[in-house]
Amino acid sequence: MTSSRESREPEGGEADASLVASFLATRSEAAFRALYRRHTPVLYLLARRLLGPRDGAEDAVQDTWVTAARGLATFEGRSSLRTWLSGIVIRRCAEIGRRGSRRREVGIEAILEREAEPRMEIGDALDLERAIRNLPDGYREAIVLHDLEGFTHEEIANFAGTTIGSSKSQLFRARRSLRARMSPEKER
Amino acid sequence: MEDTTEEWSADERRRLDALASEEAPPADLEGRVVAALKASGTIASPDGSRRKTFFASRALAVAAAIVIAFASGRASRRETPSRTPGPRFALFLYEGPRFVAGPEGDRVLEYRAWARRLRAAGVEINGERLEDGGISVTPGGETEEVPASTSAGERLAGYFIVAAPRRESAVAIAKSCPHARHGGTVVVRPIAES
Repeated sequence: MTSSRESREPEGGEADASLVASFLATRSEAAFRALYRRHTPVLYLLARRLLGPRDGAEDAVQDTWVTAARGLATFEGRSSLRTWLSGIVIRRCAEIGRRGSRRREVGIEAILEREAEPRMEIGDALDLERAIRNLPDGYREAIVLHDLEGFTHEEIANFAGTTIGSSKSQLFRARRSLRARMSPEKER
Repeated sequence: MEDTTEEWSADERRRLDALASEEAPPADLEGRVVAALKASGTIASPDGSRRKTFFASRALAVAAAIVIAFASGRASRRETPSRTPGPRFALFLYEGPRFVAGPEGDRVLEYRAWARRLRAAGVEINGERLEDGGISVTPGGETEEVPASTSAGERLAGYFIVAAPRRESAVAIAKSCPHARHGGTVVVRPIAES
């Protein structure tokens, strides 16, 4: 599988390093805003995709930056800053997802409404986004992290606290499910 | 072991790769993040100083208790537990004709989530929602029902008590409050040092 993340990483890791160093040295608002503007559009889309039909992307991104700004001194640079920030977003979204799962125990209507969504031909990007958005939670996470963000199974297993084998099998099922939604005539 | 039976075709892969790689966040999110970080001292204030100390966690609860007791006429002369001194501010939430309430439950959850995010960022904040109505007691001891709102259509809907190093920090917190987004007004008042 070709990793699409490489092409989505911002150019200029040195710029990140410089901004991080500046922020840590001065705690300047300008340095923080530069970091925020550099990475937030990607982080926000990641949160929106991971949360699917749930609200909470704004909270996830805000919590991510609060956590990151307070913990930047511990960022060791073993991964890119983007990957480090994405990890925080992923964990935050997982927490929101778990809360949402508990809430849905009494919200069966929402589940039924989601299940009743018609399968769709993927004629354009909007339909594909919608199909991904309406995948079950674990499947959506697998597709977003592996096939869209380009994380390896090892990285995903690390984020999710699971195993590489589990990540692979989840991706297998996720792709099958998405393909079935993309092609209604094909057996699910 | 990479699976092989569900690999994407070249066309499917192309469609996936063509999806957007970023999305503009809401315009006000940056300001909210910065306000939260300023309030906690994680970002330097414009004068270059950082908040040096945080109050003991009990201080705000004590302050809130004092305000509640005072507001309900139960202020007593009992000694209150000592607290770390420092500026505190009351944020009064007013609803006027421009206020768009939305479902009450959703709004309460939204405000709680906002306060929780601030606490997570190190800001000490607490507050309460106020029910409509009340009783006014005159100097002569007569009582009278207080209408839900003033003749100008304003009502005091609740308050927060927040510890902040200076007035600008408290104002930044007030600006980040979801109350303003609903069309409400937040009045920031410093709490007098005793």
